[in-house]
Amino acid sequence: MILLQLFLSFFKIGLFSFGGGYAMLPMIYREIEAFGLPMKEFSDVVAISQMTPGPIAINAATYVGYRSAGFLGSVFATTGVSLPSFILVFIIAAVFNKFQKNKIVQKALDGIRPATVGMIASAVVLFAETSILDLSLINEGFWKIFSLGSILIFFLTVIGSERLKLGPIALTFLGGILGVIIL
Amino acid sequence: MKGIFELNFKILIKLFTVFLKIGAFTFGGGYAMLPLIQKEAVDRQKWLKDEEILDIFAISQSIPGVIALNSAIFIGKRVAGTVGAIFSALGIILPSFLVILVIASLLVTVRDNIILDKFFAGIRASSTALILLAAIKMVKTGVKHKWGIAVALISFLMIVVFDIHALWAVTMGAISGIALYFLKRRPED
Repeated sequence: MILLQLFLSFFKIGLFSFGGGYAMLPMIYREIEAFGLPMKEFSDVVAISQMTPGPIAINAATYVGYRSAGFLGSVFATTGVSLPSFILVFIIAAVFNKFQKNKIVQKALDGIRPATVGMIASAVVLFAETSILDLSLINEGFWKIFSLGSILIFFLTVIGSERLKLGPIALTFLGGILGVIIL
Repeated sequence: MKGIFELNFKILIKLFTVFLKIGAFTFGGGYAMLPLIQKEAVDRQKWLKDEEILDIFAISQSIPGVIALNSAIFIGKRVAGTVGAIFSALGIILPSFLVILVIASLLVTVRDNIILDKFFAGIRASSTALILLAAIKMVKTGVKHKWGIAVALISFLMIVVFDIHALWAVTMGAISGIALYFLKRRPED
């Protein structure tokens, strides 16, 4: 039963994710919640995805599947997230030119693009809750929820990316090393 | 008969190994794979022409799903039909699948390690920054009109404040795009 749920959940993610891996994060977050995994694992999934090869969605499906139901779970979740691609590519390949030129399709995509931006922005918030903020400390005073060390790593990463032009893999590793030193 | 089979088999193995290599050596998500796919499919293997690969990338990004996987399936299908699509897909998927499987099984045993815990806490902070930067870059390419700002904002609020599944944000975006098209068109008719 859990195998079928894993398959369906990730099939849904595959079917409704436009605009690359980051836009899928809110949906992956939801599944991690639904399968009862600790929320920290959500950020672990993304972190591991950034340091390992391959698309984030495949990585996340394999990880959540394995943690919820072992090897078979990872097979079902990964198949689920991949299957929509097969179905859609085969449909689209048959009507390739019509699809590209269809006005309604184009207008729908014009609307989906900004919605995707909203999805990625929401991923930032979901992520911040487990990284630079610790909402469980809210009762000890508002300022307690901010983790200063993490915020420092956050800004160093921004500088590393924008000024020093470092790539995501290097920045991820540096973030980890800084974490060991200052957190 | 045997000759045809051997030829097909060679192409299938080639598709599998080419995509396996791309799947195993591109870090940082699916987008990073596209230039490598282009290089292999057009320059090295000469499966496709430049315009064809750009069309495939454009379509792969406009339909849902993993972009690199969509492209691999498209190319595999063009080169060697349905079986070609399956071999290409397996090539792209297998490296991530196997690497994550190993990491996930190892993590269970070392999760309580304090050093590793801090390492991951640091990574979480830097990942937050990376996702924020990605979102800011997406604003430039994805939000071009005033209504686009509204759609992005509503999508954000739907997920963060109202805890609605993101598929409804996608649906909302699609409907608003189509609705706006018909509303704008009417006065001219």
